Amino acid sequence: MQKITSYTNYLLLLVSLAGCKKFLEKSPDNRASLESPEQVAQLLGTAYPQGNYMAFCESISDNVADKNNNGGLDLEVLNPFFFKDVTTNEQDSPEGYWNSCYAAIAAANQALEICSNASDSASYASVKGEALICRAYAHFMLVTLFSKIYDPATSDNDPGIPYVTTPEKVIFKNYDRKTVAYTYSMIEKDLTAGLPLLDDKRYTVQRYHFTRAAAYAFAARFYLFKQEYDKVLAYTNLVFPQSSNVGATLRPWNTTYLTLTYRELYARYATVTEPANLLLVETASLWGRNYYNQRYGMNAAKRTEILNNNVTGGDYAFTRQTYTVGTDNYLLPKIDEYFVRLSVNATIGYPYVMIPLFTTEEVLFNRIEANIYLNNLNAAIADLNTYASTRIRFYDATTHNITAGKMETYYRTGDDRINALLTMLDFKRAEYVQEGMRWFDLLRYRMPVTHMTEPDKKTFTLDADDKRRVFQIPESARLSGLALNPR
Amino acid sequence: MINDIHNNMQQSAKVIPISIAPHWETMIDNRVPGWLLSLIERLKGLKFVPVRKMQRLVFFLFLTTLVACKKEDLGNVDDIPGLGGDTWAATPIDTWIYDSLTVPLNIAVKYKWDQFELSLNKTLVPPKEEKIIPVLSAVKKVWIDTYIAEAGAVFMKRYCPKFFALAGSASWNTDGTITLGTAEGGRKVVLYVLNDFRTKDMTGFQPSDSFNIKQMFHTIEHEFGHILHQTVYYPVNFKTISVGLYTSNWNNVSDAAARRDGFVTAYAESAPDEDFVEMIAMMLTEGRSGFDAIVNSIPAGTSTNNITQAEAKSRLRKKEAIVVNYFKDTWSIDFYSLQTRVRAAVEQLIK
Repeated sequence: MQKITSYTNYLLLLVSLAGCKKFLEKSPDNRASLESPEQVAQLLGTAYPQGNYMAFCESISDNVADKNNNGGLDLEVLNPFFFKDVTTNEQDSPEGYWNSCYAAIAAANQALEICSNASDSASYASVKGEALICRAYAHFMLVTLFSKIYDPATSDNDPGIPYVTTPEKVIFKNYDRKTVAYTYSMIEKDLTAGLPLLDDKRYTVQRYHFTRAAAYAFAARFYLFKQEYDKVLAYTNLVFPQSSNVGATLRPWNTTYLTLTYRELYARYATVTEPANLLLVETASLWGRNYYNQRYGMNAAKRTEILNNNVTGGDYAFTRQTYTVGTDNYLLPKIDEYFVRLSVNATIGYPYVMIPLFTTEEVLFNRIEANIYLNNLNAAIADLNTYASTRIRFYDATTHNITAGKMETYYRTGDDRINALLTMLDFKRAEYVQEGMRWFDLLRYRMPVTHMTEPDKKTFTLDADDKRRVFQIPESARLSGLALNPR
Repeated sequence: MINDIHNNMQQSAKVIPISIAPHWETMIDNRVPGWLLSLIERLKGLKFVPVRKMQRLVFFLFLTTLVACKKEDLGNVDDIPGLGGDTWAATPIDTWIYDSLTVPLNIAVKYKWDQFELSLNKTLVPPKEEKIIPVLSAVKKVWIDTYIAEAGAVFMKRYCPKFFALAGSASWNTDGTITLGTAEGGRKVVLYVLNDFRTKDMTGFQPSDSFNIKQMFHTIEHEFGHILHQTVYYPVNFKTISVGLYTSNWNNVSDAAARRDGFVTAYAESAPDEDFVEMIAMMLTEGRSGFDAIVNSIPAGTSTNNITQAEAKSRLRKKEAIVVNYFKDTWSIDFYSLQTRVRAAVEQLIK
């Protein structure tokens, strides 16, 4: 009996060994190795900064005021309001955003290394293009927020941010900030190299990736910051081809959006099916709740200042989708939170928001600005009217038409081009209110910002050349040999 | 960073534009001796002093504290006054509240001054003592008793807010509005403007006071409406009736203009939820004929928002129908019967 058992055991052992053979043929190293363009493409899903800049950009801008209520006092909102360095590195903080940008750059660099080592580089072309644009975008956002704004006169001397082009394979690596001009030249190099390689057909969901249109929108923004307006015009015209109906690609604020309940608008604003969204990214962020229930935000006075008047004489459609939570917590239903519970029964978890990085409206605004600088005032006014025709309630082309004369009556600067520029900036401010975009215009035009506390009416001013207009580089980056921004 | 789930059920408030608010009396009455007036004015400049009848008290406390500074002995530090709540000999007010609200419905009422129950950033005054029983008994007659008669005591015991905080003045906001009442999480209701409450039985009643009374009942029906729809949501097609017309600029709109757009009040324009409870509050306090009068008062022609008279009327009627069906389907309450009872109770106090 014992013999039979042991024979059976031997037999079973042999059978199981035969089964192991196939299993053991595989490498025990279970780390992912990327071997096909499809796999590299998947890695590039993380080459977009999954952090949100809206909280600190909006809070440092002139879109916010002290509501003097018992709203939240999150440091990501509180510190920028007082023009102080943000003393946290959680989501929505400048440091958190810095980290998410370099994480995106690391993914792009990893992908690029595989692309350059691949034998059939042709099949990797579009992947390489996307990686290059992603790398350029993350660096561009970093240099905009953490270095002085581009200025042809001083950028050769202003410290930039490290332009990282290879995967980091050591624990501590030292980097050099070089200059803003150098960072810009590297961004331009990646951008122009990546653009021709892109292939929109490769993407399953186009809006989550740099399509041609999204990359052109990025190029237009980049050259706008670099003050090369002919290129801005060229790239914006690639997004809006000749004879296309530009108005139809903008958000239908004065038509469809006014037939949506606020919940429906929340659901629609940052979705892939909204044609105006050129690039969307999912970010870990509390902005979906903080953009209205913090103490420092849009109050009644700011609402009136931003949304209640405009040059056309008509009312913005925005005013009919503006709500308050309690009193004085004004909001437009734009930022919708997606909450991921830690487990099925948990009431704690991670909040996410989907944010539009590029939209068709920005492309249109950039074209208007370029046309103003290139002295094509009529083209600029035509685009301003296109924008107004999708934003003004009961739009009437005769009564709401924007003309040079009408802008002069409204702004009274005596200069048609400056009037047009102010019109564009006010439209842009209203369009992107609570989305942090205002800060980039305040940076480019060195507009001072004044914040006043309530009820004690202390004022804090951020001057045109204030050192605090540049967000502070994370303390942890000193480990890589970076000098912090002067304070 | 891990976060808590975000609770969208925010505090809701009943707010009206300042232009509608009646003229508030001067804060100082004749019980304050003349020699104190100038001092009080100066104290008021300091902003933190609660005005009215506490002024004298505050002044004397101030003197006492100066005296107390000299002593060095801290006394028995284990005995912290007020820890575990204030205690005082029950007054007739306390007895009334206990017998009429706490025993039958488990409702607590805080009428003594505690700004932590209100907003810390607002200048408010406590309610006058003589206003408390009249207000609460009126609230009981108009709101509690009518709901009990229609929906039963169990319904009211279950859903009525269990804690009332009272304030004498209105809560003034920076955006040109005042807050008349707030409801928080279905449990707590704050009622403001008690000191302007004057029923026809009280001395000095003027016809214009009926506005304040109606406002008070309007506020409480409004807040209770919030509690009901926060418990069981109303049909979502209500939100589509006036979609595209909701605006945060409602405080620059008159009630008459709002009605031409199919809203029962200007505040109803602020959001669908407010629209819904404003419908409840207006229909209950004005009564069925009052509401019909409102609908019929809409003038011919087209509003500035391109709404015709017929459209505005039909929108109000659609909203009315949804409210009535909501009460019937969700709470098994005959709304029109409830409306008759509430209006009758209101009329007793104002006519």
